[in-house]
Amino acid sequence: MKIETTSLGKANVIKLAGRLDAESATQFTAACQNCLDGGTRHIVLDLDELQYISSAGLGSIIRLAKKMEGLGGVVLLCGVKGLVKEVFVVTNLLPLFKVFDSADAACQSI
Amino acid sequence: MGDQLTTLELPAEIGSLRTFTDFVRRGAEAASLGEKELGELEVVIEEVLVNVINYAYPDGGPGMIEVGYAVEGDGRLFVQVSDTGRAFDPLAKDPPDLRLSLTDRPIGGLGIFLVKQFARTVEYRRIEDKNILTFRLGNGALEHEQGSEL
Repeated sequence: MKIETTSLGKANVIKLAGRLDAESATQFTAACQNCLDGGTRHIVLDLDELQYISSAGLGSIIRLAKKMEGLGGVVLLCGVKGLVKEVFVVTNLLPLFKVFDSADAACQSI
Repeated sequence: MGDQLTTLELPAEIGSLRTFTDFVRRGAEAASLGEKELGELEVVIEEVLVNVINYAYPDGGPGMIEVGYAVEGDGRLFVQVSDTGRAFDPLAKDPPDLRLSLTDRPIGGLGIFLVKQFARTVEYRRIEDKNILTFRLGNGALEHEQGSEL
């Protein structure tokens, strides 16, 4: 999995490409921790190029969202489509997040 | 299940996941599964294997997992995952409560739920010293093709 983190306004945008699975979930969690250590309280997960997610990947996103909630922050999603969207929908997780068409739109909402 | 299985045996460890997935994908392509079903198959195979890796061999080093598949005549793929670890029926677990808020959601517990959602059939049996989980996916694409001809 490829992970790119950029700052956009008040938020850190974490762009994921490839597969968020049992093998790569720890890599994602480490990238999120780096953002939190840098003091951000707004994380936008750009899933536009994420082709695959399993329950291990979902678990790492739930863990991040709970942590952010505890810190008074928020996790926003954008680019949710295809199999990734299907997995978020069947687990009824999609309604628990604010979802945007693009990272720009997500950042403008903050 | 009368058809001959094509099988692959590897250690029960996370490093085996991609090799098993690529292996089963070959069967899925032979069964002409559509793109959506290929994605669902990958989720199902990962969830089943991760369960075995995490729970089947609690003592000592990793045991082995055997994955076999057969292309069925009606455009479906049959997959069998077996291990010789402790008896463990993943399907017996209570379903997750999907109404919970983010605050109350547990981190885990969605894997087998996804298996049950995406597989057409899924069964667990304990035979002698083996856990055997079998599932079927496919023929949605076939139905779609037939539908589009109307």
